[in-house]
Amino acid sequence: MTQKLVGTGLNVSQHEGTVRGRVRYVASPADVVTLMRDPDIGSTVVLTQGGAVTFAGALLPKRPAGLVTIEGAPESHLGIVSREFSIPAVMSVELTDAEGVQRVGANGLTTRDYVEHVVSALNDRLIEIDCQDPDTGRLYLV
Amino acid sequence: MSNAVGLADRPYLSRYQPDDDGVRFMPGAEFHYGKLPALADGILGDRVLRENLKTDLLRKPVTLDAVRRPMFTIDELNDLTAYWSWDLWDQLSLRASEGSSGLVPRQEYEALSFANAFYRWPEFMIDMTERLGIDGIVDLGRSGREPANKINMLHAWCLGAVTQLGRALYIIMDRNKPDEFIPEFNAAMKFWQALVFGYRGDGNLWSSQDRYRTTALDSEWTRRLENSMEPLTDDTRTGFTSIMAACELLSFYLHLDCRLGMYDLGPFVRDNGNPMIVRSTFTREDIYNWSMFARGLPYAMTFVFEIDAARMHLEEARVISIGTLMTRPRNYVNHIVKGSVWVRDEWNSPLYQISLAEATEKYLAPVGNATGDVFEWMTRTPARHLIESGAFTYYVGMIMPFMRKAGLYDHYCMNENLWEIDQRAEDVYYELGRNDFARIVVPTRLFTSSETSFAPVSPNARPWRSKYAYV
Repeated sequence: MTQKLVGTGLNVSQHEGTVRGRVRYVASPADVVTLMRDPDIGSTVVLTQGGAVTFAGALLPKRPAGLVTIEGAPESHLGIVSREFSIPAVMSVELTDAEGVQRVGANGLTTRDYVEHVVSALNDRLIEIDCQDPDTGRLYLV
Repeated sequence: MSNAVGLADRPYLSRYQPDDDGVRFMPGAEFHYGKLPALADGILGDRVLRENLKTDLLRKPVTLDAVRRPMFTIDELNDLTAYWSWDLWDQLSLRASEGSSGLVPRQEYEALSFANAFYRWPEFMIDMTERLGIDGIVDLGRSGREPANKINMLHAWCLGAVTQLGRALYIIMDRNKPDEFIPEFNAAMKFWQALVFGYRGDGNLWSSQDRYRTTALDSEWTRRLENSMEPLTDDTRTGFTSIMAACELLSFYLHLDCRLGMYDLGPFVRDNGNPMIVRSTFTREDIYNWSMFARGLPYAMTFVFEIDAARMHLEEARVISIGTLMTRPRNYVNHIVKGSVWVRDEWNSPLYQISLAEATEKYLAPVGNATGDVFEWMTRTPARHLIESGAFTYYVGMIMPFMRKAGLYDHYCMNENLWEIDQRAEDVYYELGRNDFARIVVPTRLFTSSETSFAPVSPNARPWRSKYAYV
């Protein structure tokens, strides 16, 4: 199966090997509640905008396959707790596409535009998360 | 520590050598404040900053005689403000980009709590000092030198930090001038100094002054906790970190997405050269009505663990003043090799040890259920209520442990309207919400280098100058 690097971000903690899962963007608390009750959560990579723990944190005890955030840092509450649940997590993701690296501010991208851009690139796609590097997490489209 | 323990395989131990400048957690980042030289993060930043301050207040450990002086001089206040400004940058800019919560309007409630605490805390602090005496405040700080106690470095730090942030907020909003409210500001700084002096017992006011160590446990406690730890296998380590993470998560939720629900102590360097960390989580706090979802859970659970520093190639382990362990490399979880679990049922009942198996069987599911219940409560709570609840989680939650231990909490609730917002703070509420002021402008101004927000008091300002008129 071919893989294409689709994004990189801050790696919350090193993990051996890689994990795969289908991306589910959670935009609202209702989305979080729905996913909490979804039996497929173990094969889901949660995509969320912010790095605050109270939003997506409630999903972590349900052991999703991975976590990707558009904002936030590994030292955030969400980063700390995902590390302790041993859930591979990549934060402040930057997309890599034919035009180079995409991030907020580059080419005049606003936060809202960028969120839409990331969601359209990742949501509902099967991805592989590589957290083997101490600092950088990598996302591949499978 | 045994001579067999070398620095080569445990480089983090070098951080405790007097001439070591530590590791940069924010490589290339610089903090600028007034005429001070550009400052780095970490041990180096602390050293350079203290060398360049005007007074010798922070150049050596504080003494009890200094704590007993009723006021800081203007120069000392300005040195403290400069240090606070750097400290907030050093600790919080690492996580300042959490971005939008989507659930809890944290920036909004933080700003409201800063605004309220600045006006309301000094009155309580002065009253407590009058009742207990300054030595009594020192003793109050000292009483927290055990695990799972909200009288701790984090809560004491908050009293100083939020006072500074409240002052800066009003300066940013052009509501107050740097030379106003000097006696209130001074009283709050003295109260914070006395608590930290009693709690730490080493004369340092921030953990960064002691190379990021907070080891505020009486020696009997340190020995008991060291002896309590049992080896963890790959399987049992997962169980240990899972129950610990579950409790941390609940503590974040119960404290509305802030760190008041957990704190780390350490690193305690063991004889084998490995660090021991003592992490306490508060899994129930009855002063909050939403804590009813945690009914039946212990007040606190403490997790003691040892990290294999050689296997991890641990370069630096910081327990910052807000009680959070930060390491380089970041992931210490896979290198936890020993652990133990302790429980405190009520805030004033004894702490006792339980086995990992019992902790998991008895508490893992109920802690997860309580977390889910608090989450659902949040999703059904209007933003305005969450902002108010969050503001009280800060403004009341930070000072409450000291009031409660002193037997004054109920008195302040009943007779002094503790759970109330000062009208001057309420007046700025809508301004804080306008044009993303609380969410973007305030954090940007507070956590970037700026002498205009953490403004010094003028050298010729009179120390008793308060606010003369509301114009």
